[in-house]
Amino acid sequence: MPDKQSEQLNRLLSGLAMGESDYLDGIYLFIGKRMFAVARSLVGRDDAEDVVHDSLIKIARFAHKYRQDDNPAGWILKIVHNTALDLIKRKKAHPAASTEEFFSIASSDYSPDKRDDAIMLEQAMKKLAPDEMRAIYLKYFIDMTVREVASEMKISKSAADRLIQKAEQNLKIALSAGRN
Amino acid sequence: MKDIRLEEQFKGYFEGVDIPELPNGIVADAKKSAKKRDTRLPRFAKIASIAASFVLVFAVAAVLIARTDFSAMLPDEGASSTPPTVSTYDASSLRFDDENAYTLSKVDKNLKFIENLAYKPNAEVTTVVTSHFADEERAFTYAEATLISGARYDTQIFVEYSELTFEPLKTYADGKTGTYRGIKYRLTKEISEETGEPVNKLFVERDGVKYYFNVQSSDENSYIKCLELLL
Repeated sequence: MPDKQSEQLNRLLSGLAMGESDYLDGIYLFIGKRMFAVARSLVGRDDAEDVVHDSLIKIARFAHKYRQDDNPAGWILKIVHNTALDLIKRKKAHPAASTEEFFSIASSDYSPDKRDDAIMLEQAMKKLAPDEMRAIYLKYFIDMTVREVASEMKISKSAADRLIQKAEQNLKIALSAGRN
Repeated sequence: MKDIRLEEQFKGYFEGVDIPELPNGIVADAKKSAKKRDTRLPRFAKIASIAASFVLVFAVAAVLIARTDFSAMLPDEGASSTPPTVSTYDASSLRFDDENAYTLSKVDKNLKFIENLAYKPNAEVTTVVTSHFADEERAFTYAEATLISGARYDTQIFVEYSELTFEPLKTYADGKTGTYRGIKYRLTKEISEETGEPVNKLFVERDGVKYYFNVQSSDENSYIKCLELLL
């Protein structure tokens, strides 16, 4: 059963696919913050706007290729993810994912009332092993399914499932430790 | 399934991200890329249907011609009227096969430029078909492509191998002549009745192969993009 967000995004993508460009406003309002979070986690604050802009163009162009039974948030966020990686490739830079800067979006231009929780989450993420961090990123940032995580990380579905479970468990432990 | 507690945690995390002013600027620009889609018929079907209509009109005209006495309509002696004759064929005489845009150079080396276009990150090649006559001789390959490069370029491409001309393309060779980086071309400029956007109809003949581009874009000189594909 698709959740409410998926239903809403499905409707917006469907309208956009028919050329109703105003539906892009809805998509941005609905998932814009996550698009920025994904972009900023990979390319940093300065380039995130360009990545989101380019991603929105791709979403507008390719909305007709989106299949309604797919995961709409995942589809959109994968476009952002790939666009960010394209930019990194073009600039011949290293993705922020390989540095301490990854998951450091709460440090600037972040809502002050949510900053403490966000910094705690980021610190907890940094305690994970690299493959666990990547699995969490793919699942919770990009909204990938276990199968998609497996494909992205080039491991079996069962290995991906085990890795995600372990990462979730370790992240919860790290979060609890952060609160104490 | 996501862990509920972690999902809530991340939801709060994403909520706190400050984003630039909504939706002006970023979204407004991207909206230009959304395109009204005709759900009734794909473009190629439209071309085929136009060609089919032509066949019907031609058939009716042929009957009328057969029954008309033209002797009274003959021009005065000495007057010359020699309109250029183009031997054409229509869609009804063709068989169409879908092609893979990413392997087109295997079909014919002259299609390599379409394959290259398909691999560009800022381009999308949608429909690709090759047509054959009943005797299996190849008539043309047709592709629809969109390129985003400063502006949006919606392009229909025909690469024709036949010595005859596909009926809907017969006017392309009447365009104004020009040369771009050694490529001789003919160009007809029109305005789309549907969108009011400039349409460039470009014709290039090279090594016995005919290339036709119908490109609609806000860029008035969109034909240059097409010529650059052939370089």
